[in-house]
Amino acid sequence: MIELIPGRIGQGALLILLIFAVFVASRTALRRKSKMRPLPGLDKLKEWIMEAKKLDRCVFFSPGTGGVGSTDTLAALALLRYVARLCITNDVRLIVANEDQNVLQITEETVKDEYAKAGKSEKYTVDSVRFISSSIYAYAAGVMGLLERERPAVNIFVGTFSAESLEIAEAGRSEALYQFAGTSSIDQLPFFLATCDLTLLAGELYSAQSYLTGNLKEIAWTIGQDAGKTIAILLILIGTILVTFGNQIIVDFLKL
Amino acid sequence: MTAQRRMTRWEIIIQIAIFCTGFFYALTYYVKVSEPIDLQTLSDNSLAYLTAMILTAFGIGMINLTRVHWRTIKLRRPDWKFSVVLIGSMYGMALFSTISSPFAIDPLGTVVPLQLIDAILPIWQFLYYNVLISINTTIFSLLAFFIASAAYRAFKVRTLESTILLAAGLLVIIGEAPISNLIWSGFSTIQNWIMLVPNTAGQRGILIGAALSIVAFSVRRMIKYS
Amino acid sequence: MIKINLDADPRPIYLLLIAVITIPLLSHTLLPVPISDTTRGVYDFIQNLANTKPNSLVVLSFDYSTSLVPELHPQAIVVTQHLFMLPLKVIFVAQWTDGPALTDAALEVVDKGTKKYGVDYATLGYIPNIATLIGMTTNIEQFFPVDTRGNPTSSLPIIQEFPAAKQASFVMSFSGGEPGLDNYLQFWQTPFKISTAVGAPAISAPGYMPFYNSKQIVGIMISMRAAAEYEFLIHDVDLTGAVSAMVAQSASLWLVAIMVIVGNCAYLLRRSKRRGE
Repeated sequence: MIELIPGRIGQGALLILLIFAVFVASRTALRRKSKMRPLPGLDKLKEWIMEAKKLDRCVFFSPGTGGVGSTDTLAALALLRYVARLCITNDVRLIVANEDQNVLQITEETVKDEYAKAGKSEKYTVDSVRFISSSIYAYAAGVMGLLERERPAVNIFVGTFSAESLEIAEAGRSEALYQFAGTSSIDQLPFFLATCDLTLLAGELYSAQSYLTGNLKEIAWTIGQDAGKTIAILLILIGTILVTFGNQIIVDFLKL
Repeated sequence: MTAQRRMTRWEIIIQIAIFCTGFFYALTYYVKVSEPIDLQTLSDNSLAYLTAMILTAFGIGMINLTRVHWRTIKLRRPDWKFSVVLIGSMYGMALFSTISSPFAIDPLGTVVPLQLIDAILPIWQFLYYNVLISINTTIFSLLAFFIASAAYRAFKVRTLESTILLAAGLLVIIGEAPISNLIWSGFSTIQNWIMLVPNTAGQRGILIGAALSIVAFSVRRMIKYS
Repeated sequence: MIKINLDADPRPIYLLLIAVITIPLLSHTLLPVPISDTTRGVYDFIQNLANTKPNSLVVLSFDYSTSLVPELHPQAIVVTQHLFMLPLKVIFVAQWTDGPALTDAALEVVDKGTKKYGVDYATLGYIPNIATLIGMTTNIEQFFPVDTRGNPTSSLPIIQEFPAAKQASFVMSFSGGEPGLDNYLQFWQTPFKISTAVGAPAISAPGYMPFYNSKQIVGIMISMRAAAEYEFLIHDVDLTGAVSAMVAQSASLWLVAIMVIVGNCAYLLRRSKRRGE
């Protein structure tokens, strides 16, 4: 027997509508070969890594303290591939510190894969990708010590973070030339904005991969996301006006 | 601009598996199917199996830590003695927790001798309550100092926006202090208003924007494996 | 004259902060703490629940780790104490692995009065995944065959009386992050209309305000301050030491505010001097 679960029908219909809108908008953007607005932080990353090469210092990358199920972590892993490629191509040492064991496996594979693609598999060492601790404050303490010992020129903090974000960013600030961050954790954005040179906010983090690859399909999909946001904004506006005048139609629909 | 290469056969198979799994969980959230298969029970059970699989990754973390720090000890790198402490405390605590803790493997003493459990318990309690909690709390309390120096650096009257940020931040900081109400009760009223009205509005905007980005990002991941 | 650049070297700030926090803590001064609406929401709800539906079930979820003990543990202790003072039954669970040990630590401190383990309260332990969280709403025994003390849950009178978590009247999550309140809102509050509240560290509290504003949660206890406020409400001042910490907290907050003001005055003076030159 198949039945729709009450209380979720309205949400389901809205989700289908949003996905359809994203799909249609991205197809339209692909046809028109639409462009994304520049994300200045990502343009600077390459320059910063080149400066690290000149000073013979390493680059530090933290994919955050979220698990593999977190979309921020997935976005961080996409950025890691780009950073790893840049570092390996330019012979800059990369250190990746993980808080989650499952993320460790993926980051290890990503970095090893990039070394192999560049024909430099022998340069990969066990210390490049390391696991610190699954406790976030032990992770913070470990990363703070690592930053003090290794003195990376560029620190990249991308992913899900909680209160340890300020500790590692502030500790990194004293030694690093540049710091780059990206997260959709609302609580941690102010800390990164105060301590890092450039910060990607929420939606920009998910667009990073599209921007970096320059792939038309990826850019089109990112532009398509805006269609979903537009529908949500319109619904909120229309719903607010209707509710103000005593009409609960949208509220009742969402409760279906 | 990079050109997109064709997916290999394995990548297509993995992509289909990813899509089917994602679609299955989305479907069971909205649709109840009880015959011929109870999909809700199937999805709950598969989540339990997934948890079991994820737990095996704990071993991988320990292996990686052991590898990195054993190498440091073997090569006598600077601060190698701290690596000895790390490995000793990691395996020691794991052993004590397995024998005698809320997560003990045999709390009723069926296999492990009860005398051993009773002997280890006060050691575990000391290490957990007196050492681990204190150390974790110490690291967390560093935030107080970092927030003070970050606030001093960040709250500067450079532009109109930073001035508004400064004013709002100061009013919230002062309103949060219980002693402020002894000076003037208006401080907590202003702080409450800032938290309940503009802060909530901003939070909602970011929450909705991030949630929509997550939906689109997740759908993209389900459709295109990369 | 010695010039100090606090942007480059913040150590003088750290020294001042240490002094301002340590001196009040050592002097153990108690000051009245005004009660915020968000804390009062939790207290009033629990008080009304005990008056209107005595012997109903409350679930407390210890969703924080050892590092958040200073902020959330005092809250957990005072709410547990309040519940033990009232005719209510309590089940303790945890979505974080440190939760069961911290539950035991909280239960060591509170005065249980006439409450008996297994009859009036029970500790079920760690909830490993969403499936367990959802499943226990219909059958607790299937997902928790034994409690944290090794007793079969089927033998506990509280579980015999409330075999399903959806029978709970109130759930409160002391939430240090994820997993935490979000899961209870999604899987308990929305389908079963179980009233919900949260205890949060100061850093996360702004994120829960939208839920409080829309009345999805009855109250928010924010950081150690809420524990101090709650101690005044239950007339057990300094049960956790939270009240005596408020002077230190106030002093440190005022220090930060004064330093920001002084720093900006110095910045504006320097800027006007440079413009004059």
